Amino acid sequence: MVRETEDIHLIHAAQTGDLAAFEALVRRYELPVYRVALRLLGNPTEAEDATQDALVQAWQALPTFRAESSTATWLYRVVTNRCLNLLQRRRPTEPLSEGHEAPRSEPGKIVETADALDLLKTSIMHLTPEQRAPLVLREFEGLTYQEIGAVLEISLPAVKSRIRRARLELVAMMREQQ
Amino acid sequence: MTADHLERLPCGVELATLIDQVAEGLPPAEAKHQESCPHCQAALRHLEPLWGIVREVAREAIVRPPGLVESVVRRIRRELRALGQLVPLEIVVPRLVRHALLGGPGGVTRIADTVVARLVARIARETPGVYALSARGAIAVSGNSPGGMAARGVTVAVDGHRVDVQIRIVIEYGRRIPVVSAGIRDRVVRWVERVTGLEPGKIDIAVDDVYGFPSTPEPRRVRLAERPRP
Repeated sequence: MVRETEDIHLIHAAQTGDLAAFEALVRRYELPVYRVALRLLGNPTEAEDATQDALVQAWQALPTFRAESSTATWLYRVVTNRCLNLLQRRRPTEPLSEGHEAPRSEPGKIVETADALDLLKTSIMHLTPEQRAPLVLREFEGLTYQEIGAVLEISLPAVKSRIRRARLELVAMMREQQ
Repeated sequence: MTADHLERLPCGVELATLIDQVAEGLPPAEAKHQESCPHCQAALRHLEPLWGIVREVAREAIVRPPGLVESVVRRIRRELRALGQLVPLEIVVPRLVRHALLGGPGGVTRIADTVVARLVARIARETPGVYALSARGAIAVSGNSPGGMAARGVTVAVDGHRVDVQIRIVIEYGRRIPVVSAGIRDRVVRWVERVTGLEPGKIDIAVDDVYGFPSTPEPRRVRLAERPRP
């Protein structure tokens, strides 16, 4: 609650052009924003660029920011939209099955822990961006379904169905590798 | 390879339901069935360690890239510098407040331009179709207007009992600009006259942005450097 109040003060100050206030605000959220970008894009350099773009964009969007959602939700939304746009440009509506098979481990080989983690990360990258975003926000950021709905600006049933679908895809991919 | 989202175990339970149960740590929907069902048990034995991997990835420490915030601030400064203004002018140099004057037989009433600007800002913001006032007014100090900035998105210039106004807005998607701007003018004239007794002159309106496109997730992005100088 205190944090939220402090956020609001910082945002109000930033809205009047106080760049130091915006800097303080950004410091509070740079890690989660970067984390989401990294999980969505899968590449640290791209994630850093996307995070920077998103935060600059947040500064530009300050005039239209109304405290209807929390600062975290707002920043998650800005970075997620940024990443989804990048992903759309990267592979426009390409189906999973064509040329994007997850790398296969040798049949019968026991997947080592490190391999398993890499395999999971690769599998996440094979989810469609629409499935990946809610999954990342749920499993890695621990957001509630309601919060995810607010970030992605979709309904609660849509959140549930996308996450369910994403988990199922993920399990199917992991099973194929094991 | 796309998973069949209706995939069921031989016992009829949907696989997705079991995955949700494991992922969310929920109690089983049908505890009795699950306890005794070999298919459910086998699926859970498989899913638990698999979801353990997801949890492990979630626990991985991610290190923030060094200097990220500094880079963001540098970029913002660059964009602001491209406008020729680093910070709002009134923060650096206290602005001279100008007053409108209303003369009468009993004396003179002086009304600070800030008062008029705040009133206009409120009236404009509450006009149907206006999503918000644009912040560009906040860093824009009108070169030739004697009034200068007094409220975000609004510039007023007072001269005697006359007041000229510039308003910068973000319009709601789907609204007609002529209708919205006529609405703003109408309300501003009415309220400024009624509340201050001053005579509204020119009311210039700039529509700087539009909010709420239905199918574009990213708001239209205008780089500060490309914006016309106020």
